[in-house]
Amino acid sequence: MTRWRITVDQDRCVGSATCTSIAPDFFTLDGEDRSCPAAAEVAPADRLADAAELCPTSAIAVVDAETGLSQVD
Amino acid sequence: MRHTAPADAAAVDLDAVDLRDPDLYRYGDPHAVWHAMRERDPVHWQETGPGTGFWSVTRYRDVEKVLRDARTFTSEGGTLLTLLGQPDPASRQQLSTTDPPRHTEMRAPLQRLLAGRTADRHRDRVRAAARGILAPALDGEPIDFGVAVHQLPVVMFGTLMDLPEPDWTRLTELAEMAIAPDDPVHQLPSGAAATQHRAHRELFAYFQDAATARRKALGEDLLSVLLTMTVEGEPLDRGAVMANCYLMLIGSTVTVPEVPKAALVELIESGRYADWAEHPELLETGVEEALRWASPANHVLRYATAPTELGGKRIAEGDGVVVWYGSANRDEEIFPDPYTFDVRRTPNRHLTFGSGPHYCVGFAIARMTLRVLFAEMFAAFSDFELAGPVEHIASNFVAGITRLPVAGKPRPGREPW
Ligand code: HEM
Repeated sequence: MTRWRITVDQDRCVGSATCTSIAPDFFTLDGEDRSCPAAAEVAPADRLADAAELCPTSAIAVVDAETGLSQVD
Repeated sequence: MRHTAPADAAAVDLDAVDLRDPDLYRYGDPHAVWHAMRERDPVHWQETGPGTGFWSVTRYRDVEKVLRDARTFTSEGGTLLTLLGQPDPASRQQLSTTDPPRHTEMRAPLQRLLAGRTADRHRDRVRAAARGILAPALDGEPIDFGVAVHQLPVVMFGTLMDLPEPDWTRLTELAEMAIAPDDPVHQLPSGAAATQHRAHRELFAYFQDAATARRKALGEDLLSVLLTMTVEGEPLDRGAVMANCYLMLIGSTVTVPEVPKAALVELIESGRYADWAEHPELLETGVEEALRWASPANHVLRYATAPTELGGKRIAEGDGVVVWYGSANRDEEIFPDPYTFDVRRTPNRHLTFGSGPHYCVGFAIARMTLRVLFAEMFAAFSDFELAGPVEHIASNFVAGITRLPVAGKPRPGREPW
């Protein structure tokens, strides 16, 4: 079964809360309003790819956990 | 306003400075003022009357802190310095003057429409417009790039909103009258207030008619999204739709053209046009540097919702807090050699699009448009020179250039357009 790995580059995150509004079950904001993945590996989901694509600073990476290939176009 | 290193920051008398004065931006040197503030009083109180005034925030880290903390620093009291102390009629109606969580719900459908793929769909029209702007310079004759480049943003706005092309020129004029009514280029003989009033009236009437027609023929455009979205379980009312159309128009038309203008002046004056133009691989880092350099939005205003502390100053509940983007983007603590235009600068975490929940929702389209324009310019011209004096806009909100006469050197043997 395919799994996706999520990472957020905290240096790039500007806290626009785009990901937490589009995919609230996959991201949370820390005390400084920087986004963190709720879990490092998850089952594939369209809205996760949407969140990564819509991130204003492209801070979110979503890759196939096995192949390492990006799932965001 | 000039974007280069300030002439004499040490001579600035901070007690005498008025950062609201539009003429400071037309004739003066706001970068000298900001530099002096960053050094001597980074969170500075300016009095505007007995017991009234606002805080100016000039260091990168403090600016970022204010923008990211929408709970302590609300947008719902208005975000423009000219309206300081007056309630904003668009509060909780317009995206920019709404706080989370309502803001989050309003923003999501707009962000979805404006991100990535939409920008790609506009690319060909933007390229055609960029060529239209540059073509008159191909015979080597001077053009006023400061005027011509304003044809560009309405191509984004008009396409996004699906508005008829013959209306686009007037929309651009009205946007500029609304945002810089003090500027003699746009001002009506009856004065600044009348100029702004006239522009608002005409724009709202225009959007009203467009909305009425669109309700009968909804599509996938921005106006249709505004007409059909629900926020807190309800559709936007008429006023809210108008206010957001207006915001999108202003957000796109007055900002984007200032980036290539400011960059071109600097590239000409520093003799470094060719260095960037000959290196297509520097298109992206160069555009980010142009964004940092130009910082087209000068400021944004917030109000403190509770007593707080910033840069060692005590901010009282209700105080107006103004962040200065142009200053944050020249903060020497963050950017080495901040007054050098360096197309290779990385990292380059400029705050030109803001930060936090209100981070510019048009960023993808803005970036695409700028990359296309610079790429077309570099492909067609090996250099530019100034062909007359550069004039700056009288506005505390837009860091802008009105007149920019230039002559280009067309590349011999280039592909015809
Ligand atoms: C280089 C060009 C641009 C610059 C420098 C710029 C700058 C900014 C800044 C600094 C903000 C944050 C304001 C705040 O914090 O209150 C902002 C917000 C916004 N911008 Fe832009 N912008 C640009 C292009 C655009 C374009 C092309 C559009 C529309 C297509 C647009 C629409 C908006 C809107 C609607 C907001 C409000 C977002 C919100 O409150 O969530 N901007 N912009």
